[in-house]
Amino acid sequence: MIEHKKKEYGYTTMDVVMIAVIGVVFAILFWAYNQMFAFIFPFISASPITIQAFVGFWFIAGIVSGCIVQKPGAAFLGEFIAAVISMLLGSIWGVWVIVSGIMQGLGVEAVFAAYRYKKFTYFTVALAGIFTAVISFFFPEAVTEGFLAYRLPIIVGMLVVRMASGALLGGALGKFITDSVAKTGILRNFKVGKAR
Amino acid sequence: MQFFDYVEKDSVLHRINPSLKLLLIMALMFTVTFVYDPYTTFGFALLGMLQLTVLARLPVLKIFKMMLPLTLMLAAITITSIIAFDVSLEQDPVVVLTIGNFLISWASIMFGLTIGLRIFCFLIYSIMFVATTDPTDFILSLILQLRLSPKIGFGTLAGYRFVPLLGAEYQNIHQAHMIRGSEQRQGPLQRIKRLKRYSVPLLVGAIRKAQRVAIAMDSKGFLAYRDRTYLRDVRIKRSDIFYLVIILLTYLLLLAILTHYGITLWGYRSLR
Repeated sequence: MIEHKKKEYGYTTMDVVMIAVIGVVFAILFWAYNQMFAFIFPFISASPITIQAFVGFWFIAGIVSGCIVQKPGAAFLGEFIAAVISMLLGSIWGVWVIVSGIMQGLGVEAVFAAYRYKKFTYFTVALAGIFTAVISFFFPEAVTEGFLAYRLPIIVGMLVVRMASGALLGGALGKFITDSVAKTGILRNFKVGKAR
Repeated sequence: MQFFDYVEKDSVLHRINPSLKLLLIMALMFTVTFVYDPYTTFGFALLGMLQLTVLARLPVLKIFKMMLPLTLMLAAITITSIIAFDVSLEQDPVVVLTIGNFLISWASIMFGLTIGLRIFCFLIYSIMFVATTDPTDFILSLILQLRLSPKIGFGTLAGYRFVPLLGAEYQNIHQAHMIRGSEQRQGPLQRIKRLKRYSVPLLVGAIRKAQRVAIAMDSKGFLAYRDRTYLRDVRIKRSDIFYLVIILLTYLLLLAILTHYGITLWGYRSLR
């Protein structure tokens, strides 16, 4: 029984390198996303609510690595590594990106853990996206940018848009990407690849 | 927009232990998030710039030039915060401007300036960290000082080595899309679709590389033994402690002086 558990939850070198590489790929995509942002940011941030629509994409590294490796800590580590690398590549938020990454990783991880790393359907990933959107709103973002001092209707609007973004741009898109990658057959050694 | 990269050099800040530097900067950032007056925030930003010039000996003017495009973003954040600030938090707001039902008070402006300067302060300290820290030393230090598992640390390091390769691959994919004429359409929905078109081939290529690296690591017995040795000697030295004490005292001195004159405000509820 113990032997069995170890096989199910222990990390192989393959898992670890896989998580790291997923983190790196998304760090590069975050960087590209950031670049796109730097130009349009001043226009969309004219309203604090519209900018929340783009937030979900930052949770995607955790979603994808959680969905592919399907072991405890995979989602957290994927997001954490993506944050560390995106700091090294040069993000506007710099060092603080690590704090955001840790919180977002914990958010995704918590939902996957609640399903005991067994269910990775569109529903669970969307839930992970929504949960992460909410907790990362209050810490660190609300603290850093002083959201709590905003007018109440604005705060509510931000949260609603942010949750939708987390579900779609984070959860659903992440699941969609994972499935597209699994379809190519290179994930044969992982549970996602075997399922099909 | 590669405005901050590691700058290879020998300076006081380059020699500080990466984990210690990171934690110190994070602690400062955390403290600054509770400060709600623009003066103290700007004071910390000034101390950061001072460290950049004196301790890291980086060309500050050049850095400012690189940061120029970001001024627009900082201005946007400032204006957003001014407008979004909840005036009803104040007992009797000093109204500066009214736009319809929207009141903008003196505190709103102070709040906006604080947030804008806070992001500026974060930028300065982030540049300070990234520009003076060798990425390899940083990850080694995470393993040695912050007890990150070596497996994950070296996995990340292996992944980090892929960055230039993946960057080239990203260019390839981009050009392939250009040749097929799929790049013309603009608009937000197209941008999101493009994210998928880029991320899937990038991931597939990277996963192939990861599998080869993992097999190579296993076949060489990498990390098969508990006690391993390290080529680079990353540790906390006496000079690191010296730096830590001096910097902490400087920060505390700044806070003490500004508090003495009643300038420093803590928490957004103090804005009234």
